[in-house]
Amino acid sequence: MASVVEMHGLTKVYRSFFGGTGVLALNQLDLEIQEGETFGLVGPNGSGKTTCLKLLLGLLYPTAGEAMLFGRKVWDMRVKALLGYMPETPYFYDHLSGEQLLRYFAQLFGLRGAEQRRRIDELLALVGLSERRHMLLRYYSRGMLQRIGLAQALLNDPALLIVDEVTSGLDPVGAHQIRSLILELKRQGKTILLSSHLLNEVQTLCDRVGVLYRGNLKACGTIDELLPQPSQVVITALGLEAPTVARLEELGAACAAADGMVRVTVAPEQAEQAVAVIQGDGGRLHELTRPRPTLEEVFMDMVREEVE
Amino acid sequence: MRSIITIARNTISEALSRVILQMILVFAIIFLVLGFFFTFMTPGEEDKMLKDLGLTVITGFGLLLAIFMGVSLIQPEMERRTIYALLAKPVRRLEFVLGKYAGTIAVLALSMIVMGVVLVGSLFLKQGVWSPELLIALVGIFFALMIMAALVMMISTFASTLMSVVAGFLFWSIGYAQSYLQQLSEHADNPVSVRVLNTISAVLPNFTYLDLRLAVVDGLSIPAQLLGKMALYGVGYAAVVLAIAAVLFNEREM
Amino acid sequence: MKGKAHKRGRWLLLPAFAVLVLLVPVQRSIVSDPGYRKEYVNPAVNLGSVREGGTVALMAMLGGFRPLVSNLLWLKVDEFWHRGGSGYWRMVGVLQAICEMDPHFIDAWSTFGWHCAWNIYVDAPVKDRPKWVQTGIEIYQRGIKFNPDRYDLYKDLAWLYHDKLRDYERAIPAWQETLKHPDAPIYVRHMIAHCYENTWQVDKAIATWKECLKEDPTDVVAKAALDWWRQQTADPEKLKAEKLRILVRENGVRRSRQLPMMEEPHSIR
Repeated sequence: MASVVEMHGLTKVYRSFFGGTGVLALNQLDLEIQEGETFGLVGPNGSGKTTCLKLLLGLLYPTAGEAMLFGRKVWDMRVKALLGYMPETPYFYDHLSGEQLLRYFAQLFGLRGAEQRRRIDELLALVGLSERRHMLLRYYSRGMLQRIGLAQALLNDPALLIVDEVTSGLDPVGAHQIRSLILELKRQGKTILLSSHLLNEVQTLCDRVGVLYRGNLKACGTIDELLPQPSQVVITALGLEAPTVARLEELGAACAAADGMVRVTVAPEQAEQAVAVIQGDGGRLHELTRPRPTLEEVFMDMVREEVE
Repeated sequence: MRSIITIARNTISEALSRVILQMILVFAIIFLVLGFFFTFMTPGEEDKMLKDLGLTVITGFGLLLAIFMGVSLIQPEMERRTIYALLAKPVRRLEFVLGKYAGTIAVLALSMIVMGVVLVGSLFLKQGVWSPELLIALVGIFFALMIMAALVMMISTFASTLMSVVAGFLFWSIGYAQSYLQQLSEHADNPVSVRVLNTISAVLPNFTYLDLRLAVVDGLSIPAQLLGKMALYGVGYAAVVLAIAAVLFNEREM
Repeated sequence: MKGKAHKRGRWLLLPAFAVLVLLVPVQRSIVSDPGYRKEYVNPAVNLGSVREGGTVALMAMLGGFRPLVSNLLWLKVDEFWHRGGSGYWRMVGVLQAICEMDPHFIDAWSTFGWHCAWNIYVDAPVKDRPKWVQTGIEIYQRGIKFNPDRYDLYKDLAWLYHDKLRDYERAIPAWQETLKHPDAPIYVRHMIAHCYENTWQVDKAIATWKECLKEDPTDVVAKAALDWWRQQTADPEKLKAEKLRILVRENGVRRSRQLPMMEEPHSIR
């Protein structure tokens, strides 16, 4: 599979006009994103995510290293024709309506006439703004701006979609709608680069994740690679007496009682035995789970190590 | 080319929708018409004064338009970040600069035509005489404003809006103070000083080359070849400034 | 710091520089074009004079709004005139500024010359008076240089020689220059006739009156003058009395103005 996005030693240092040491925003980033992949770039504010995206879009120039899209330089017009970009907090031209904005951008892509109209109608329907097409953008809510932002990013049916903080400022319903759209695009085989500080969102949407912290790529891989396998089984049971708890603890389980229930944490290989003990002593199983650490937990561990 | 035209059209629609620009134009028309309700001195003087005042009003308001449109081309797009989505499209930065400028010039030309028609019409209503030759002075003014818009746009690629406005007015003064510079060079005795002053004079804009107001009001005829040379200077100088603006904008990080 | 990516647009600077260099001959060509009026290029106008017109005038000057400035200053001239006293002296600088800024503003030249030769003349110390008259002459001459196609300033200059200086030798050519303009007023020819009368060149005076009548058979002034001279020339005593009267009148004015006295005019015939 071809690499759609390639970054080799990509570095960005922000210096003031008068020089000085500068701020290292991105440090020697080496990353490749394959065709059809949905890649999530995560990290807290100031980690370098936006810097990375701006370098790919040609809005910033690298201090060192290079970035390529579709095997070409990022400012190549052929690359721009294959690219869709949804900015973080989309601001568009107040004096235009939703439809006029799409028409403006469509003209920049060379879309004309019936094809242009068809595409605009499709996209407005897709993002649920068909009825507000003539409303001026200055009256759009935050969520509506986000949706028109996605629509303009899809005008040219891009092979690569770059999305910055996809659900920023959206209510749960709006966020869910956008996520569904992203998943649909993913299903269509588009390459998607997603930047977000909402780790659970990235975990849901992305095939691979890159974790940025203070300009450095701390980890990169699939969700499975990044998240350790669940190492414990947690059994929640009712009606356990003290002797039963003691027997469970002998098995090596940790027991904690709360609200009339007992939470038994045990190694997977002891789980079957623990269940048998509980049921044998007349206890009632309430729940049995194998919780996996979330990306957030993994990330917090990484950051804690860094700080230490 | 397609991008340039598309961006120019959007620039025009944006400019025409902006209240401040509408107000500038309305005030200009009010001033032009109001002047005709006052009677100055003798009839001969009145004719001269009304024409002088009319052309001055058009120049002054045209200058305001050029400066305020010039500063609103690039800086607001960067501040509001509308430029991110735009530059992610297949649009070269040079095309962006040219498109924005072309839209501005179109609005300036339209404004000059409207104000010119109001002036000539008002004069006709007051004095019963058609003075379409006044429109020739507007040609010179237009070229000067072309240069002004380009200058302000260039400055706004790296400076704040306020600084760009101030610099705009400064450049306008410099453009008219050029003859003082030339006088200085004539009186300088050091050949190096003369060379330096002449170079500065050649590089800075000189709006006195484009100012036909006094000549037109005095009824002097303006040959077509002179208008052609003025056009060459105006367009040429604006092109130089635009090129610098494009280079600066290209180096600008968002 | 950035790498080299941002530099790719710098190629534009080369053609820009080339165009800037090419604009130098264009600028020269504009200045040397016969249609380009050099007098409209901002001369070193005395900003102090412009300041007399108020802050607005000064700002407008720096902003290149010369038409507005010259009109504002012109209004200021009127204000100074009605103020009198020191206002008369302040008018001088302001009028000079207007003439330099707007060299085709005929009224300004006319007022400037008249003001120096007639008004300032009165206020100036006696020993300086000839200087102010000479200033008036130079102002008119300069104004004529910028406006050779207009009769007005020729007329003003001729009148200055005629009335102020009683210098009919110089007045006559000045009146004749004025007459070359088709729109010159009819009385100019009358003035030439008066010049000849005052220098006792009666033959030429009568010939001039006859020309006036030829130009305009309804010219009652010319008719009356010719009748008068017919009567005078018919009676030697009357002629002699008239000659004396002119001499006394002329020398009376010259004496009061410290001008050279008129010699005994040569006799007719």
